Amino acid sequence: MTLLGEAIVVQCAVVSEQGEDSFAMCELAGGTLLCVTDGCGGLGSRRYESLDGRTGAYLASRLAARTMQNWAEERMQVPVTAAQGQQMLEELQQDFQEVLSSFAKKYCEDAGVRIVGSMQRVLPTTLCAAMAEAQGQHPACCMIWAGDSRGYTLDENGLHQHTVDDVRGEHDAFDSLYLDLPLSNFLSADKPVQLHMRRFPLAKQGMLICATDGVYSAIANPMELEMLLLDAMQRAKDSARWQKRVETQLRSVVQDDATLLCCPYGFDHYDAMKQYFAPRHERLKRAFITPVRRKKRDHEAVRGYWLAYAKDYNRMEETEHDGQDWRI
Amino acid sequence: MQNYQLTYHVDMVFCIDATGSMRHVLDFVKTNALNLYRDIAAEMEKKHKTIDKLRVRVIAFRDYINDGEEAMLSSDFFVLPGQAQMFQECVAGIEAKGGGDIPEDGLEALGYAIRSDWTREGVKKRHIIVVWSDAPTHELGHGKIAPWYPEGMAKDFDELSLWWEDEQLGGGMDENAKRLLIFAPDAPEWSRISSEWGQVIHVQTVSEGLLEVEYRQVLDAVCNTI
Repeated sequence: MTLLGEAIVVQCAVVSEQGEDSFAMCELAGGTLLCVTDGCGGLGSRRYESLDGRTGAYLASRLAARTMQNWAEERMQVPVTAAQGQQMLEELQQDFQEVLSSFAKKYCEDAGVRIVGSMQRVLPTTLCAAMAEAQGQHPACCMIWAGDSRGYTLDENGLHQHTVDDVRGEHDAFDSLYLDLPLSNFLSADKPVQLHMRRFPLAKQGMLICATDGVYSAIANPMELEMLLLDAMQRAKDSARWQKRVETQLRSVVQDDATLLCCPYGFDHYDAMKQYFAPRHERLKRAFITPVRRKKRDHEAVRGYWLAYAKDYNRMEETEHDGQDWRI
Repeated sequence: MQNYQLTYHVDMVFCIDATGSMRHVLDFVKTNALNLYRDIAAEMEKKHKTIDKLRVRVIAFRDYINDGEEAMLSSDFFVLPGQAQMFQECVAGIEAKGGGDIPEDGLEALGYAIRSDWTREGVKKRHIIVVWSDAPTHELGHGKIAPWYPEGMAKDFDELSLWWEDEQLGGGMDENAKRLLIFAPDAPEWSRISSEWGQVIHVQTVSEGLLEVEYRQVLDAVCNTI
């Protein structure tokens, strides 16, 4: 059972009321759903007068989050085999395609001056959803994504990224912060929807996390992202204060719309979670954060710490778990 | 939490059709050119992104066969806001004249623009080319017979496409940083560019009918990817 009541949701919009991120989070019979979406502001900059002058990016993120939730309410179940996953992925792709295309047909027909080209898309958005079944003997999670919104878990061994960004070129989570990589895939009404899926067993206790790029790209490195979450948790008395601390810190650094969902599971209450993560917090501080901050101007030295950290961080590829761990 | 500030370096090259047919819209285009960099900087500011260095270069193009040495006039990069006055004088000095037949040598202007001395500085950078023209283009190389036609220009559209698409094949624009914004009619070569080249926005008019909402769309398309 997840602790949805203890979950934190942080949303920062660079221009208030016009944020192009959205999310969905709910507890369902088939498990827990976390979903973040990030409307692509450049590609979806067209404004639709009949829809309050909202941009395609704004509309797309909300449509995608709602579609994911609607689908989950009816059919969510964490798939066990890759074949089940494939079938689920195809259904979902079809749902997204239908919703985006029919919305576009109804509201986004061309009018006025034509603005065309590869940098203009109809209803473009990224998406990352985590579906988790945290109960039972074999707790498992299934991440679904398109674009560069990310799915993580956090447990006693640290932060783990399970999704692979759809960006041009292959770069790790540290190097990509210092590059400027265009998206190679995202959801939109004017091209076929292509989703990825990653299924893996969950640790007995931990946290599910989904974040848009506004979150992780505003933070110096993935070690600091973990530190942000754990430090705020350890300093807070309850989840409301935890959320407030994370939000305050994120607001001070974000340069883009940012959405972060963190949902603990496997704990009876907030203090139990704090206790579980306390040793990890200390270890992270000692082994990575303190030396990295001391050498923050030495990019190569920081990169060296990152490479050591990345051994536990990278969980993008399947490992041996009796066929329960796979990627499509 | 460790503070982490990205630096933005933005280069823009403005290619302006300066032929006689542009007479009725050239003032509009000049104003647009002068406003565009200010609007981009202001929009970035709104999003808490500060441009550390902004440079703008101007290329005025006409027709090699008809306009002799005035067929292609280009400036160096102006660093803004420090050289704003010089930039404004350069834009103000563009006169609409010549051109001869209807198509112009817009593709050669694009070739010059692609081969600008683009910035390599900044964690995040943008190399942006903006073209304003009310006319279709000649085929690349149409003006070759003119003695002032440049050496080393792309020999045809395919080569120009390679210049755009591949940094290693002669272009020099950063693959992730480049953007091309075209204000020009739905004419064969312009439309071929917008359908075949990556990172392009093509507004199919140079002035008429461009509403505020559409200008915002273009501005957002540029700023939201910086």
